Amino acid sequence: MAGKDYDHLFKLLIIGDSGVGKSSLLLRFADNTFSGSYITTIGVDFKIRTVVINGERVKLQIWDTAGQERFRTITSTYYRNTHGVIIVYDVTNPESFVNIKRWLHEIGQNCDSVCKVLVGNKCEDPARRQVETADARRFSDQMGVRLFETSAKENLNVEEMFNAVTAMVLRTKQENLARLQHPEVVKINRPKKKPPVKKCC
Amino acid sequence: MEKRPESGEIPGKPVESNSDDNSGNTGSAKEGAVSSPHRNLGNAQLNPSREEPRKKLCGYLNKLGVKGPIKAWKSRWFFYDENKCHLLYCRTAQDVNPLGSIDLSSAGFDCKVEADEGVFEIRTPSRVFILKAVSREAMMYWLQQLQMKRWAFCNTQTGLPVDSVTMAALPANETMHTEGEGFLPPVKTPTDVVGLKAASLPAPQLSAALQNISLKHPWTEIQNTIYNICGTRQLPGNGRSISDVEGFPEHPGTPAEEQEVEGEAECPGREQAREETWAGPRSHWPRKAKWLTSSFPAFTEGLARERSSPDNLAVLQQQVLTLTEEVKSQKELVKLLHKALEAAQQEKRASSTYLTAAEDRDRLELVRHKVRQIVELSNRVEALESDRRELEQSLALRDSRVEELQKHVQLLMDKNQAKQQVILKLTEQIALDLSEPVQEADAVAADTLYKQQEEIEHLKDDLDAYRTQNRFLNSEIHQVTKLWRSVAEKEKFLLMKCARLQARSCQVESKYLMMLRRLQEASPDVASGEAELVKSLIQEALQWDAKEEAAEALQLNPVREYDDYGFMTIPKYEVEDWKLLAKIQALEIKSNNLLSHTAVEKPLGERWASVAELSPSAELKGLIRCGIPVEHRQRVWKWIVTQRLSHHHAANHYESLLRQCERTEHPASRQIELDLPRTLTNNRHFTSPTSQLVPKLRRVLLAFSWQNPAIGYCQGLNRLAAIALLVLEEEESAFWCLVHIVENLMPADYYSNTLIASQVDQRVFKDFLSEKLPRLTAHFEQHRIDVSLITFNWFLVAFVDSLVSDILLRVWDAFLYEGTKVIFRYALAIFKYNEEEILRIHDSLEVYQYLRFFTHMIGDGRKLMSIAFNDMNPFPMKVLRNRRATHREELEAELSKLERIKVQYMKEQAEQVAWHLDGAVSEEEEEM
Ligand SMILES: Nc1nc2c(ncn2[C@@H]2O[C@H](COP(=O)(O)OP(=O)(O)OP(=O)(O)O)[C@@H](O)[C@H]2O)c(=O)[nH]1
Ligand SMILES: [Mg+2]
Repeated sequence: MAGKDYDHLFKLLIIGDSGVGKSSLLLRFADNTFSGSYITTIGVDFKIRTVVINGERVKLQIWDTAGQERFRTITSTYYRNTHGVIIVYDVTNPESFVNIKRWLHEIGQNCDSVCKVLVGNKCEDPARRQVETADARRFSDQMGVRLFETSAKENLNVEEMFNAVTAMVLRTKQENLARLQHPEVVKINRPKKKPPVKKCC
Repeated sequence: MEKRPESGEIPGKPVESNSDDNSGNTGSAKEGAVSSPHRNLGNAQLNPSREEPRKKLCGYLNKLGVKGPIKAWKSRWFFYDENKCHLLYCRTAQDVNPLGSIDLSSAGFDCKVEADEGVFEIRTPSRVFILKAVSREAMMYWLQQLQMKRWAFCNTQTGLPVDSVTMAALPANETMHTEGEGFLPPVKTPTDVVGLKAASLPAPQLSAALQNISLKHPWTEIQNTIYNICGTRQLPGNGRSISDVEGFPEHPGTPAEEQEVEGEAECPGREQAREETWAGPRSHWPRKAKWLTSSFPAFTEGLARERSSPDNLAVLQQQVLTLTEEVKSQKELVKLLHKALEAAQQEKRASSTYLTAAEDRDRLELVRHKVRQIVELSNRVEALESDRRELEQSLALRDSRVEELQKHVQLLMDKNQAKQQVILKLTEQIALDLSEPVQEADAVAADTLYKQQEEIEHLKDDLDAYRTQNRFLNSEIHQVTKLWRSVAEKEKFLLMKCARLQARSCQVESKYLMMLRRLQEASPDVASGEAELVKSLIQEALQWDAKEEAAEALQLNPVREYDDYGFMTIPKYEVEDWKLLAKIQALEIKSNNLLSHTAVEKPLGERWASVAELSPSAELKGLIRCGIPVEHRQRVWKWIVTQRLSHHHAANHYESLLRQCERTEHPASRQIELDLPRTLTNNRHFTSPTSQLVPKLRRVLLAFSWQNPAIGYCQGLNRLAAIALLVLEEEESAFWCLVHIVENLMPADYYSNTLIASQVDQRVFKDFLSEKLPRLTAHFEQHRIDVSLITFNWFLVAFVDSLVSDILLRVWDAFLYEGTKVIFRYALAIFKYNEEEILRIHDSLEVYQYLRFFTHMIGDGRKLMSIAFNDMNPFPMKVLRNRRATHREELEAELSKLERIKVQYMKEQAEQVAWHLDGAVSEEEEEM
């Protein structure tokens, strides 16, 4: 087979309530298309895309999960070995925003240190918006996660969001490497409200 | 014609004419062969090939020409062209350019009783030709010949490279060799009216020769005429006076040739043959004329009107009689003369006495006496005269009376004869009927009898005609059926061949696309130019598909856009790579279907058709495993569901559930609404906004959420219900089918809150996988592949959206009948099907990539089925049950442990938050 065509391989996970547009975001990012009728995700699905960040080829294996609550016990197994988690809510659906907290808990239970971003999807239509950016911003600041507002439909901010996650994961990896090599020099630049760390990654 | 001398032929010399070349027109035919190929074609019958001494079909027929409103019979020379299976015709046999042609290959033949004798029809799709032969025999000869020609042509014409095996299978082929089967017993060839010899004869109806000239083809006429004129001019020294046959100056045949030819024919001699042929077309009138002119008066009166030798004798006797009569009268005359002489002598004596009487008184006395005598005599004469007249009158009377009587006698004899025939007939009939004896025979007037007799004769004639027609039409039907059958056989064979070729083409195409895919995958290693080429080829293949599909739709076995259940045969994937794979799979499936259609599907279909009443049996199980044919699927599914749920519910249960849906909104309805537009998006019944299936699906799912509140709605049930709807169509049936799946087939808690039974099944499945496919399991372990990531949804939705509809429904047939074991079997079979391929991949990510689409790459449903139900044996239900039980225990333990951790974590979180709110910094953070 061909030699390694990438420098890094990261596993990302997309979570969030059903119907917020997780699959649509992934479809947009991996295949740059949008389908108004993409089938519901049962269990998990994944796609692969390679991006170049700071001159480094990063291959991303992005897992897309089912949103319905009862699938959570299943999806919890997918958190293992995950480098970054994308938590998606739907700006036209406040309930999905409220549920973010539960999703964060979910991550907390299953991983130690993992990069996270908060994504408010379906932002292309202000008329249908029900979650204001300011509220979301306040919350994300509180949680110490970056916020992105995207539209898979109109291809707004999708690329940027995924690139940011990737860059974050890449930086973490590089920092970890550096710390392993020179443990005493490392200056940890952690956000203030980092939840307690459990070793599982 | 200038070429003639060059060809080195001696004009009019009949040396080369072979046995068949008896047209009496050798010279011109030869010329035709040399000079123009066109003529060669047109007058093929005049120049038959030497290798083929078969009889040529040709001859004069009258053709009903229709010129506007005028219908007229026209004499035409017809001849058959074997190469084209055309019946060509021209005005005379000697014409070079035909006036027209009739395509026999697609013609039907017919003769009608109502029509005149010898009239028959040739019907081509474009036109009906009405032809008339001189007699019924000639007509039958023509019809038979035409049938045989058509048969021969239709059997040789296709010239297919049909291999011997399949040809042997065609019954038509056999009949091809047993020539004449299905034809009427061959009619004796009316040699004098058909065949090449007839060409040497003048065209009939020559009095109207001018009328025969075809006005429709003036150019051909002119050509023919010129040719004929030239032809005759070319034969100056052949010693045949043109006026030999008066009125046919264009007839250039040589008597020498004719004689030679006719010598070979059955006719004993030329003269006789000629006479016969002359008489042939108008056989009636010469005889009639003879009869009219026979002048003997006795003949006209006589009863016998024939001139056979006994008749002659009678005539002579008659003559003798009259002569004796004459002699008698002569004798009487002599007697009279004697008397006259006597009288004269008396007178002489008296006058001499008178002369001798001396005295006047004596003389006076004498004179007086004489006068008295004279008066007396004249009185007597008068009396005699009147007597004679009377006698003459009475004689005439007698004569006429005799004549009358004779006529009467004749009439009576005729009547008698007729009566006798009638009696014969009637007695026959009576003997047949065995009914009461005939009494009326005498009572019935002779007159009516006669009429009846006549009528009977007519009817007999008609009967005969109808019988002939019937026989002919029967043979025509037989012929046409035979033709049709052979054509149908050929078509079937061609279709089969076509299917095979198409299957091969599909295979080749799919392999080609696979190659392209491989090349594309390897493209980092390949030079960029070649990579470009590969890419463009793929592009081309994908685009060409679309076009080809559109064009092919009109043809025999098109890859349809949608299958029987409305699934897109080639799903519209977003990614090119997937499109390619989908295409490859569609091609493979099609090729498999084409190949298995006759071998497998047909017998299966027949077996299904014979299953009238469904009842559980091992045989039915086997049949269902092979897949239920589309036309039986709905019935069988319905039967399975009702059979398994019969004890369950009241008739109006579904309706009451629906009413409940209207009253209260189930919490699941939000999720159901979210999922409705995301269900079976590759099926047109669910993507079309006007489709009735989406509202039906909504109602079914809502009703189910009330039916089973423990589950409510679980993502995935939408797909199950959708498949049920597609097959069963009826909303309520689909609902019960869903109930059957969830409550009968699946273990408890498969879809409820934690999906614990589903998770258990994943573990059980891993056990089976390691057992049945240990190599693969080792491979997965080596690359840290968790197959449950892939297989989880196979189980939850019974492969919907994973397998292509064709295979999916077959899996469902068995699944609905047998239960979850079927899902295990097929899941294992899918891995087995692709085992070697998976083992070749040595990169975790690539294995996952492969597993993500590999269900879509299964093209051979039959092979998969055979693996599932044969290779995976034994598969005891007991083992499955036990494994489920142990794994469930384990999992429950794990889950409760997890729950404890979760609770612990929540507590910690809460504490941390509280602590953080106090403003303190977590010490744990520093631990890192
Ligand atoms: N207007 C708008 N609609 C979107 C957008 N992204 C997704 N959708 C629609 O939202 C619906 C749900 O999208 P999915 O991507 O299937 O949602 P999901 O998060 O994967 O849902 P689950 O698979 O059930 O967990 C679909 O009908 C999409 O068409 C967006 O950016 N704008
Ligand atoms: Mg999804």
